[in-house]
Amino acid sequence: MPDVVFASGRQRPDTGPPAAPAGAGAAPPPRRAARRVLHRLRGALLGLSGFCGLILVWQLTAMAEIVGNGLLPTPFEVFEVIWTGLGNGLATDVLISSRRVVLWVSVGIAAAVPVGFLLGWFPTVRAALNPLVNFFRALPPIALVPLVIVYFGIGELARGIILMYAAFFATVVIVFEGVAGIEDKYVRAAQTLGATRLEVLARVVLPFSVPHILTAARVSLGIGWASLVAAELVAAQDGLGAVIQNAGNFLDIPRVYAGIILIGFCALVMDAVLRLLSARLVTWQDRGNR
Amino acid sequence: MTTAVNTGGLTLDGVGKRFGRGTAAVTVLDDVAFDVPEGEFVAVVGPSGSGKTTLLNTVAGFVDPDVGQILVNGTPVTGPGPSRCVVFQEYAIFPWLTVRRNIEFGMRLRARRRPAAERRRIADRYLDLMGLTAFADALPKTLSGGMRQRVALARAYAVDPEILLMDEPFAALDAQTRETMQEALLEINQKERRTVLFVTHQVEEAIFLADRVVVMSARPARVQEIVPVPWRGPRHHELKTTPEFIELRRRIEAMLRGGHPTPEGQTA
Ligand SMILES: Nc1ncnc2c1ncn2[C@@H]1O[C@H](COP(=O)(O)OP(=O)(O)O)[C@@H](O)[C@H]1O
Ligand SMILES: [Mg+2]
Repeated sequence: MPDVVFASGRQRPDTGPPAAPAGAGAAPPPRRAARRVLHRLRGALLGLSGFCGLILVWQLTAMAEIVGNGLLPTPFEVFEVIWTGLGNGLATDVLISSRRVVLWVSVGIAAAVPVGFLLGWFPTVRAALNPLVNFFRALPPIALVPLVIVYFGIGELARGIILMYAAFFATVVIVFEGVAGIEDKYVRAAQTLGATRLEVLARVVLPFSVPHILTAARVSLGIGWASLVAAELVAAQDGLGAVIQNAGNFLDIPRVYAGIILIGFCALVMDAVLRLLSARLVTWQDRGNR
Repeated sequence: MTTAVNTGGLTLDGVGKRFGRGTAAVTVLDDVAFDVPEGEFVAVVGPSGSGKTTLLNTVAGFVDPDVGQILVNGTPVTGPGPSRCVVFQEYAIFPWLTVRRNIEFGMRLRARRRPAAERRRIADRYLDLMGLTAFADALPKTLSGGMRQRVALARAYAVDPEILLMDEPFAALDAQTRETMQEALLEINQKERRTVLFVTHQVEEAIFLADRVVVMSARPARVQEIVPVPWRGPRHHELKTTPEFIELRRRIEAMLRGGHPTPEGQTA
C-alpha cells in the first residue's frame, strides 16, 4: 500500500545542521494520523468492493441459470456450506492445510535463501545454475505428483516435497535477483572501511537482502497455496485440497466452491500478515512516492 | 588543538590507465605522478570526465592501474582497505543502519575493531564534530543530502584511516549546503590533521580547502601543474572574494582551459 503521508520524509534542502531530528521515531501529529486512518479505510473499502461486485454478479448469474446447467450454486448456498462445515470438521481441514503450507514452504524458503545468495554473489555460479533454476521453476508442481509418489511414497513427506519444490525455486529467483541488484557503492563503501569479502556478505548483502527475502516469502506462500491441491492429490485424507477432490468425486459442487474460497481466503490472510510483518521489519526502506 | 591520529604519505608514481582495447581504447590516466605528504590536504582539479574518479579509484584499490604504482607509506596498494577510506560523491551510507551504526560500521569490522565503549566514545565524538548528535538514532531516509554526507565523513574519520580520499563529496549538494560542508570539513581538519586527497571539478572548492592544488589536463589526465595555496590557519568564506584568491582561481582556470583544447576550442 503506498504510504503517501509518510513519504514526505524524503530529502529536504538544508542549511546547516538543524536542531532536531525530523520525525525520527516520533509519533505523527494527530491530523496526519487521522488522514492515515482514512486512507487505510478507503483502501480496505475499495478492496472489499471488488469482492462485493463479484458476489453480486455471481448471485445474478446463478439465479438466471445462464451458465453451468444448473450446477452453479448461489453464493448464499456456498456460504452456508462453509458456515455449517466449519463447525463440522472443515475447520480442521483449514488448519491442516495451513500447517502444511506454512511448514513446507518455510522449509523450501530456508533451503532456497543460501542458494539464492550463492547465485547472486558469485557470477560464475549464477552463469552455471541460472538456466537450470529457470528450467525447474517452469515445471508445474502437479506434473511431479507421479514421480513424487514413486520415489517418496504417499506420506506427509511426499506432499511436503511438492510444496517445498514450489517455494524453493520461486525464492531462489527472487533472492538472487535481490542480491545481484545490490548497488556497487555499498559494497565499495564497506570495503574501503575495511570489510573482508565475508564481512561484506554478512554486513551489507544480508541486510540489504532482507526485504527481498520477505518478498520471496510472500510470493512463495502464495505459490504454496496455489500448489496445495496438487500436493494433496498425493493420497491426502484431510486438508482443503482433499476436500475439493472428494466433493468433486461426489459432484458436491457447493462444497468444491467452499474449498476453493477457503484456500483463497487463507492465502489472502497470510499475505496480509506477512505484509504487515515486513513493513514492521524493514522500516529503513525509502519507498518514495510510488 | 590537534589530536593524534593515523596519518601517512601517498605517492603516485607514473600511474596510467586505459579502458577498452583496440581502436575503441581510451587512455584516461597518463603518467600521473605526485606526492601527498603526510598531513597535507591535496586537491585535484580537472574538468568533468577527465578521469578524476578513475584516479581516486586506483588509489582506493578498486581499479588496478595498467602502469605505475601507488604507494602508501612506501607500501604498494593492492586492493581496497581501511588505510585509504573513501567518501563518495553518491550517498553511500547504509540505509538500513542508523546514523550512529553507520559511523560505527568500520569499528565493528575485524580490520579496525574496537571495544564497545571506545566505539561509542569515538562515534559520539564524530557525531558531535559533524553536528549529528540529534540525529544519532535517525535512519538515512529521513536525512537531507548534506546530512548524509556528514554521516559519510564521520564514518570515514571514525576508522582512523592513514589517508582520506574524497571524490567530489559535495558536488550533488546545493550551493549553500556545499559552503557549510566545506567549512565543516575545514573545521574537522583543523582539529585533526589528516592526509587528504580531495578530487573536484570546482577550482574554487579546491583552493578553498587545500594546501596544494594538482591541476590536471583534460583526457587523458596528466598533471599540468602543482600549485601551492598560500593561506595557512583557519579559513572562512570571505577568503573566496579576496583579490588574491580570485587571482589564483583565474590562473588555475586558465590552465584548465588551455590544458587540452578540443577541436571546438573548448575544454570538455
Ligand atoms: N570502467 C570503465 N570503462 C570504460 N570507460 C570508463 C570506465 N570508467 C571510466 N571510464 C571513462 O573514463 C573517463 C573518465 O571518467 P571519470 O574518471 O569518471 O572522470 P571524472 O571523475 O573526472 O568525471 C570517462 O570518459 C569515462 O567514460
Ligand atoms: Mg567523477
